[in-house]
Amino acid sequence: MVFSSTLFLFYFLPLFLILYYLSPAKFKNHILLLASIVFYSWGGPIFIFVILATTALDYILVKQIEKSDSQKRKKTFLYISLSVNLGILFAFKYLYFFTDNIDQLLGTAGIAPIGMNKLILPIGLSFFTFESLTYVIDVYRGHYKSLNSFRNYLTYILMFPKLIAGPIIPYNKIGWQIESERKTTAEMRLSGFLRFIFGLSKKVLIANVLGETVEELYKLEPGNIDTVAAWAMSIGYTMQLYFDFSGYSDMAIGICKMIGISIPENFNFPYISKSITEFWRRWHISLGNWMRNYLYIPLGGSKGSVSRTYLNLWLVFIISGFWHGAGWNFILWGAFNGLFLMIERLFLNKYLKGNLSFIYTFFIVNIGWVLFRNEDMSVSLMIYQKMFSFNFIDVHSIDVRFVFVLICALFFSFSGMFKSFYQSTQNDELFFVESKWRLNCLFAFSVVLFVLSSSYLLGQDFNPFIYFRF
Amino acid sequence: MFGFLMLCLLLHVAFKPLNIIKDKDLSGYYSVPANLEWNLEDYFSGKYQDSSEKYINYQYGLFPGFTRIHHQIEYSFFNRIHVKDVHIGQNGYLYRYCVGCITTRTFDSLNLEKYLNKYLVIQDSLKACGKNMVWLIAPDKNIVFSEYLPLALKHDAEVYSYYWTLQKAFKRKGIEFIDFNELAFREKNKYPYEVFNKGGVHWTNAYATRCFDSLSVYLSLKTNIKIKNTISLKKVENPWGPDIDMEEAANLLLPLQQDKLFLADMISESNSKSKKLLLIGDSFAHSWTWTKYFTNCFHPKSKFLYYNREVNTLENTFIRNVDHKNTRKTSSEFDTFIIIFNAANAEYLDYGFVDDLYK
Repeated sequence: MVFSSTLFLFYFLPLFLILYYLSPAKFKNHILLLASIVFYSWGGPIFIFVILATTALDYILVKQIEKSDSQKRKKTFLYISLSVNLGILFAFKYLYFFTDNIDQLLGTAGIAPIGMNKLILPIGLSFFTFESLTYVIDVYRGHYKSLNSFRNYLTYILMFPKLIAGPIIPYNKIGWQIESERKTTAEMRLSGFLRFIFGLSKKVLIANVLGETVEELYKLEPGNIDTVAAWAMSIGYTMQLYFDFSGYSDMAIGICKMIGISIPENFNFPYISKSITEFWRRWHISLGNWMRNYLYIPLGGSKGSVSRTYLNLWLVFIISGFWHGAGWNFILWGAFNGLFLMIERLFLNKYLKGNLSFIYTFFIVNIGWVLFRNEDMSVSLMIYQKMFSFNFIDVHSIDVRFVFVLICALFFSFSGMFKSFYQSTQNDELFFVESKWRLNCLFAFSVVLFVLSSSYLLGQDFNPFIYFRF
Repeated sequence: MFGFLMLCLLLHVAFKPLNIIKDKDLSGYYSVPANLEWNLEDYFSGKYQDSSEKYINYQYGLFPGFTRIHHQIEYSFFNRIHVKDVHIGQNGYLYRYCVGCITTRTFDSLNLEKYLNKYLVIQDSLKACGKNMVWLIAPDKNIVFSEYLPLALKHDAEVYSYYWTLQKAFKRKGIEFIDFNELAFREKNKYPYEVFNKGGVHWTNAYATRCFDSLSVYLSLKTNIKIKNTISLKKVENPWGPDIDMEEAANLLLPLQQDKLFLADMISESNSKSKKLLLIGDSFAHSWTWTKYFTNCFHPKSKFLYYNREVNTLENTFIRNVDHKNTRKTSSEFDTFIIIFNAANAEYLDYGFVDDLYK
């Protein structure tokens, strides 16, 4: 079940919210947990058992870590937990990739391959594995106490708004909210709902529409792709990815807000960044933070030698790329980003102070997303070749809708530059108390967006025949 | 405000299942996904979830309303239409059958020659028995209103295309036929009504009536069948459904701008009510069967072979599938044979009827 589906939007969500608001405070977590189990079971009925089992094991291990007096014992439980969590992630997500590559090597040597079928990836595995790790590591480090009940821990891991596509919420940011008695104000509920609608619109009205054309363009014969089409494909995908992912995060943040839980932002106008370094502080912030706190710093961060710092940086980015998907393209994409981060640290940063530096960032990021999009390296190379061949032919037609939505997407992506507007909208209280007129406008705009999004959600695939037959 | 938004989420219940508010169903032909019964195997494989989500979309109370809003936005702002195989031309004209009509492909000349020779043999044989066979080519919007075709589809298809080749071949072989494209092309601006409505695939009811009258004149001149028609035209606000079939299937909120909407009424006097007609044709013949134009002129046991696949009454009631092995036998009871196919179907000639008869 995805947020942008009829089942979720018009059946699951309202039913959940009604039950949630009507239930007494002490049962709210029960409702949230039950809804989360139903939500996850719908999409991954088998994997719910995997997630329940690993969660139970983690809960027990963390309790043991907390109880243990000896550091050695703590470490043992930590390693067991890390092995189980990362082992499951490896088995489901990466094992096939490795065996497939080994098979290719064996094939060149004339040795019989291992031959392994690709496993179905449990929904949200990468996200909840990382969240489980934050819990185990935070308690191990003694930064925070463990949750007082298994139900609460299960709620933290399974909480449906962030389960499938994040944000990756560290235990320390949410554990206390789950354990406390939450109250939702009318303002929170409304601003949460509005945020949800904005997220839904980003996904349905922008990402899906751009994605449709990008997909069509990718189906063209290479001979029919010229420079305009290649740039449309790359920029279209750049925007599609941003609006899809950030839209989903907005929806997650919005739902959480509606139930009185505050979760961290995941995007902050990444395309206005003046450098790749800044971009990674604005794009998928929760992953960036996770990588910094649980990988970069433990690796030594920037405390070692200069070369060690660069190595750490690059390693973190390669792992980050690999986290996104089990494929060489993701590793390359990570390495590509890491490389620019190093170059910027080396010398480029001093040149990236001007207002137009975002053009450089956007260009590099855009080039990177081509790698990210295509598992097949030859496709990426073909797109690059077309992008820079400056060859213009007139065999494809990029439709008006794509151009219009792309312009809107670019406008919204770069609107973060106009800080005055967003400064007032990002602060909910200020926004609601001080500007009634503005609230009314926003509300009306949201209703329009809601109708448009619902229309596009439902109508897009409805293409009837004129008659049963001609 | 939050309450209002929650109500928006739940509004669909008032449409379905409560039926407090009624909305018109969506037009066009589509199949509603099946609602799988729950079982463990389908559930664990995810099949149940997939099919349920698709089914729910169609059961959702606001599905027709939201779909119309979507389709209208797409049409008005982005010049896109959501009906299978339909293209938007200029000036609001919708087109279908473009592939059949605007093509650079054409007949294999040898095969066409063989067909025409068979046709001539059959026509002569029937004539010798005092029976008649007439070939009619129904007009096609892609030809009659080629000036409004989408730019991407405009090209010089006259040289090739099945229709133009067939038309020339008929003339070359001296085969008598009626081409309503030529008539439409010549006179399309003279009528108070449209030959094709902007949103219609088929000829308008008014123009089909005009053509039936033209056919009546031809039969009266060339055969012993005498049909006299009295036609009256009535300007209407809402056109007959088949006149705007593409528009209806497009499920828009607002109607396409269209003047000259007329409906025809025709009274026929005929001396051939004892003669059995065998009509072989495509959906363009519906304009004459649904209106009972033939029923009023021929024997009640006359038949309509739809695409030479289905045997129907002249009023279009299905009887049985065509028995291709016994065409000669089953056709012997008929006195008059009318073949009518739209120019876009020219590739398929008469859908094998003459071949069946020749065998």
